[in-house]
Amino acid sequence: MSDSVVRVRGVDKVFGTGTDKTPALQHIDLEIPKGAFVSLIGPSGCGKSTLLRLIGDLTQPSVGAIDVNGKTAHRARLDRDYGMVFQAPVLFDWRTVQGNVELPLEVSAKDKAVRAARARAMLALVELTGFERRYPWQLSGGMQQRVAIARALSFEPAILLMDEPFGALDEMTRERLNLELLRIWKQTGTTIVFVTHSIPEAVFLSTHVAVMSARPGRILEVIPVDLPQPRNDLTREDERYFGFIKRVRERLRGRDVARPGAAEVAAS
Amino acid sequence: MRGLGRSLSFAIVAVMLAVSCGAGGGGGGGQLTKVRLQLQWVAQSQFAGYYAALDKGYFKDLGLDVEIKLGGPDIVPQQVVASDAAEFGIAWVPKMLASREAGADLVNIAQVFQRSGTLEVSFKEKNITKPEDWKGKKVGTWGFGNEPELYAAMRKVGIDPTKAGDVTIVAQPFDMSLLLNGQVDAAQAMIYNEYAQVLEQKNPKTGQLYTPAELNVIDFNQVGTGMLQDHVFVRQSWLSKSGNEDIAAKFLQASFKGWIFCRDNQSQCVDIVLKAGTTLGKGHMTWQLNEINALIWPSPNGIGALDKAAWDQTVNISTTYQVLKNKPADAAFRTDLAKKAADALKGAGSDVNGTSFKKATVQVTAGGN
Amino acid sequence: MSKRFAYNAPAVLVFVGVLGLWELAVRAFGIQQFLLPPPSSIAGAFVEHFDELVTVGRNTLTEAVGGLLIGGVAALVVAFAIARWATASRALLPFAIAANSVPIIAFAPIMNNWFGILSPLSKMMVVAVLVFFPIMINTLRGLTLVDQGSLELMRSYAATELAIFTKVRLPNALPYIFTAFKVSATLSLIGAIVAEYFGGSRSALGQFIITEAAFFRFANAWAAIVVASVVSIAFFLIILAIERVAIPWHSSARIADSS
Repeated sequence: MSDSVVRVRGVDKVFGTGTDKTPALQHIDLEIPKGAFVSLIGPSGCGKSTLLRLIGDLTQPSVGAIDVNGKTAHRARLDRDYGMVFQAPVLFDWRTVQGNVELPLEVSAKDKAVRAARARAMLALVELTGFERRYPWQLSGGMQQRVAIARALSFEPAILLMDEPFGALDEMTRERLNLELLRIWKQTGTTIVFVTHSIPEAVFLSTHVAVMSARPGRILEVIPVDLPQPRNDLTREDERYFGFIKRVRERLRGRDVARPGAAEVAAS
Repeated sequence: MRGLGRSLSFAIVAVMLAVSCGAGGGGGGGQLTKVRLQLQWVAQSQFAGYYAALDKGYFKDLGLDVEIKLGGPDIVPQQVVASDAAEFGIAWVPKMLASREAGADLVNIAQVFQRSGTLEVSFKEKNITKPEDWKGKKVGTWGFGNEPELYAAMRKVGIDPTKAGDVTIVAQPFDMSLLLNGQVDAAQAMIYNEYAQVLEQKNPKTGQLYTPAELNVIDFNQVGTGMLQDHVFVRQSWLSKSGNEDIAAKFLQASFKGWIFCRDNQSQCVDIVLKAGTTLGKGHMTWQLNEINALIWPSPNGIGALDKAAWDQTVNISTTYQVLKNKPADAAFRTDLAKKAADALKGAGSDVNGTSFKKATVQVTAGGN
Repeated sequence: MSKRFAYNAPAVLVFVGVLGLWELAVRAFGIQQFLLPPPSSIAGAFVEHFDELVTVGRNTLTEAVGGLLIGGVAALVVAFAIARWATASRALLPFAIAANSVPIIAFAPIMNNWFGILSPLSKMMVVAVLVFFPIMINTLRGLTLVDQGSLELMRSYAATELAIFTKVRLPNALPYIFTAFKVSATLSLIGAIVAEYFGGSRSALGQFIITEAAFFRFANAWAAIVVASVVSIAFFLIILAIERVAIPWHSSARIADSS
């Protein structure tokens, strides 16, 4: 309990008012332990991106509360406790690669030398050393996402929120970036909440997969994925890997009855 | 090739004019010949004679159906006549000659205004009573080709209008606002128009209308650089067509009769002009008609007669100050049609010289109303 | 160098071709000078009046540039205010739109009255009003048309409105601002020339055109128009060059590179 970095309790999210109400999420209870890699997976429109944004205080719950790092989500955002990576890299055309990575450090008013050193270190982490002076439009989609990841990590957040970051990339780049992400995760010890459409990706990357129902979204089950670490290409040939994929798929297709009580995640 | 070129050039204009008839030969029986007159400016007493001729049926009596086209700041009568959008035009001689030099085949057939109406007006305090006094001052002109009389008058006394050190020439709009708000020391004015506009304003200091006693004027006729102004012109190629000389003479005859009417019946004439739709008030139109009459009458050799000396002075100034590159050929004017028209009127008992004409004293009204 | 030549060659050929056809047509069909002078006459007029054209051209260009700066700065300030504060939007936008609707004909004499008919400032103010709206509205677009993702990103950093303004809205607006200035460059020259029609110094391109046209010396008038066009194009190209330096990252610069 005490090492839960994210606690979502009894959260409902409704969009719109009056007769135009759209319930997006219902009765969400979720606890994410420190250092975990948790994927949120579910059908389109199930509210997984909304849940991610609730954790990041980019939108607020209609009912319920969210704690991040022992504070309210709002406080955590102001304290810059998390970094975010979106499906689009959202890099600024007018900044160099290094300039983009330094952006959050500028916002939190770190001095020039510190920013430069941090940025270079992060770019080394994502293996983009040598590209500091380039502009985003000179990089491939995969490289741009790596810059976005470097930027998200530049201020050493406790949590990384990722909203389908590899969704726009081709299969091979995606698999390569999966491995990179796992390496970074191990190196930094950041807790990662990862939204994805892809069942294999969710299983491959995560310590836990939270399966969500169709709208209004509920958490159907949190499946601990105790495949051996570190994950690599051999993992993709492991029978248990396919077993988990099957389990997740069936949970997604099955009756959408949520498990009663809080979905506590057993430490794996 | 020339004919092809002309029709090619005028193609668009011709299409637009497809409805209106060009001048045709003859006018037998009850059939009136349609012709168009392009005025130099908007409807006002400056063109009273033509409006009177129209209103009193003088044109109709001679078999003409005249359409009067209004002028304005962006209408160039020479261009309108040259492109066959009108048969007759009114313009100032230097500008007509310049168009002639540029290739328009225009000819002056009646010099209606015998003398120039241009003044340079200033308030008494400025002490500008002769051209020499312009030195170092801000002197306004309308531009648009109205500056030669002024420039010639300046050069005559050794002031170079292009040298900022000698005098500052200010391009002024077509009103007296710059004089009234003090932005120029002297402003260009027509004696029959803008000059009166000043007299129709209240002097803020006295609460009364400005009086001539508060103003100094320099008259270009007196300075010796006056140039001939309003005249009737046509296209030579139109005139050469059979029957058109006759039409032209008839047009002039009716027009002259209109001018004679306006000399002898000023008040009625003003009413005709007002009826024609002038935007200016009765007071202003009365002043204007009086001054216009003074420019026409007396006509020592009959109305519309061209004074060769005045013509030569106009040509000399034009060539000296590069309005014209060369002296125009004598074919630029002809006096026979005007004489024919005047003689016809004289024979019918009209006074075509106006020797006894005297300017009336016109009561200036506020705002020209 | 040869790449640039190949790029521009088609335009040059068309230009030369049109001039040649024009000259031939005027001669072959005997078109009068006062309707359409041939390019050779215009070139001759240009050479003959070169000094005067340079003087009047320079005077008019000064009015255009001055007006562009005055109007441009005012437009930027207003656009920033409107983007930053909603109340400024309610207060200022109606006036900006009104300024756009005033016709020059009504406006120029008033400026002559307020600022002095001989002062170049009276003409500059006409230009300033003319360019104000395009610059203001385009700048405002650039400041507000920021993609949602960027705004969300900045919110995730708990960035202040000021930080969002300086780090996101301003750089985003730069291409829009340059476009507006490029459009306004040509507009400013037209505005200066038209403003000159309403009175002022005689040493001005607009006055030169009026006088030459009044005396039917259309070759001279055309020569002046050519001067106006050339100056206009040069003005545009200068702003383009500044844009290349200021925002090298913008897509228009990129496309040129890849050709």
